[in-house]
Order: sequence, then structure tokens, then C-alpha cells
Amino acid sequence: MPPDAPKDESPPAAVESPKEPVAAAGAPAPEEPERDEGAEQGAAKRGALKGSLDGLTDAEKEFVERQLAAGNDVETIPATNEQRSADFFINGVRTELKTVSRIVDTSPDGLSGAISSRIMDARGQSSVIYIDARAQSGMTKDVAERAIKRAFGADGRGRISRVTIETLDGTVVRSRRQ
Amino acid sequence: MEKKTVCLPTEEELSNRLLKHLKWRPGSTEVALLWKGYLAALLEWSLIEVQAYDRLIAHLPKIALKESHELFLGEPITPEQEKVIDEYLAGQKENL
Repeated sequence: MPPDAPKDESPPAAVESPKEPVAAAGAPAPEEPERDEGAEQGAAKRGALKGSLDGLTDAEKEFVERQLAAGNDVETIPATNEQRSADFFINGVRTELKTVSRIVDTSPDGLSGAISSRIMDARGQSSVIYIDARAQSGMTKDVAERAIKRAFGADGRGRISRVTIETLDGTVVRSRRQ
Repeated sequence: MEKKTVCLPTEEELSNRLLKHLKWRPGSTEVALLWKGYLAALLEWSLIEVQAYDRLIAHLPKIALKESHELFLGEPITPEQEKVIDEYLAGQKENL
């Protein structure tokens, strides 16, 4: 279950027919629906927080708050030193949060390449990765989609199971396995 | 401006073409590398989904993993990433 989805909802089972086009160019991929956070927040019961918010950055605290508001249970494990970010368990699933905002090359190629590289760096901590790119100039859902595809392709061992990228343009969630 | 009509690939036709090519040239490194690049482009540009990509790439030998990594990320592989791939390949050989 995606950590961003309310606990009582499961992603719809994807049906893939080999005779159908695998995906339409530019169209949303079929495996997971786009989220409507506003609707989810309005309908979902607030999640439970386990652990402390002490030591978390403002971005991490905001991430926790939005997860709770979306009805997800959050457990925080603050960083043990300055080199590492805090760990989160969202509905029991370890989730690695990365915040990006300072990528200089804001072309689609530059952004998608840099973010795919961050995803690859994050996979050592968790197979479920959440990228908050709302503050990154030039980010769109299309660029996010491309970044995820590039990371999945580079991840030949299949260690990444799900990536969520949040942009001001909307949120993209993609799972490797169905 | 003339509207372009895109004929999207299906996994079935890609699989058929790939398997036929491998049959024509068994053990060919060139065929494997061409198809790896071809499938990489289809994935990055969202013409196939990652699940289809994974099923198709599974027909190909596990070669050029480092170069494939560099192709997707658009940057040279780091020593740490290279080590991870080497360990993975060593583990694969042990399992054979």
C-alpha cells in the first residue's frame, strides 16, 4: 500500500494485456492512480504518530504532518548524526525522504537525471523513496515521471520498489512491481 | 502543423522481435547491446512501463550493467555504485 494513501484504500489491481499498447506517450501510467491529497485529507481519519519530532528539519516535520493528515501512521526515528537524514516508517513501511530544491540545470534532462541520481542514492536506505521536489524550479509531473523511469532503468537489481515525487504540478507515484 | 500519428509498441510485438533476433544470432553481444539501448529509450520516454521493461530485459544477458546505469543517469558511475554492481554479478555467478 502506498504510504500516501489512506489506510483503508488499496491501489486498484492493474490489468495489463500484452495486446494493448504498453503505455501511451505522455499519458499517466496505469499502475497507480494519481493522488488527490485534498480529497484524501478531507475523508481520511488522521494517522497516529509514534516517536518524536525533536531533531527533525522543518521539511521533515511538514512531511510527517502531511502524512498524518492523509490518514497514515508515522513512526519517526531521528537522525543519529548530521550526515544522515531521519528515518520514517509510514504504515510500517520504511520510507526514505529526500528534499530537492537546488538543482542548477533545470532542463528536463538535467532535472530528471539529477533526481534519478538522488533516487539511486536513497535506495541504500529503503526501497520506498519519497522525493519532495515542490521547491525545485522547473519541476513538473512529466519531469518526475521521466526521473523515475531513469532510476528504474539504472536500478538493474530492482532494489527500488516504489517512488513518489511531489511537485507543485502534482504528485507522481510509481511502483516497480504490481 | 501536421499532426503526427504515433503507433505505440506492444509488449507482445517487442517480445516477439527480441526473441526472433536472439534466435537469428545466438550469443551475439551486439544484439544484446542494441536491444538494451532500444528498450532503455522506450522506458525513459514512457512508451513502455517498467514492468514490461523488466520482462523484456530478462531475455537478455546481464552484460553492460555499469554502462546501462550510466546511460540512464547521464553521468559516470561512482566507485561505490560500481562496487555494488560487481558484488551483484559475483553473487549471480555463485548462484549458477
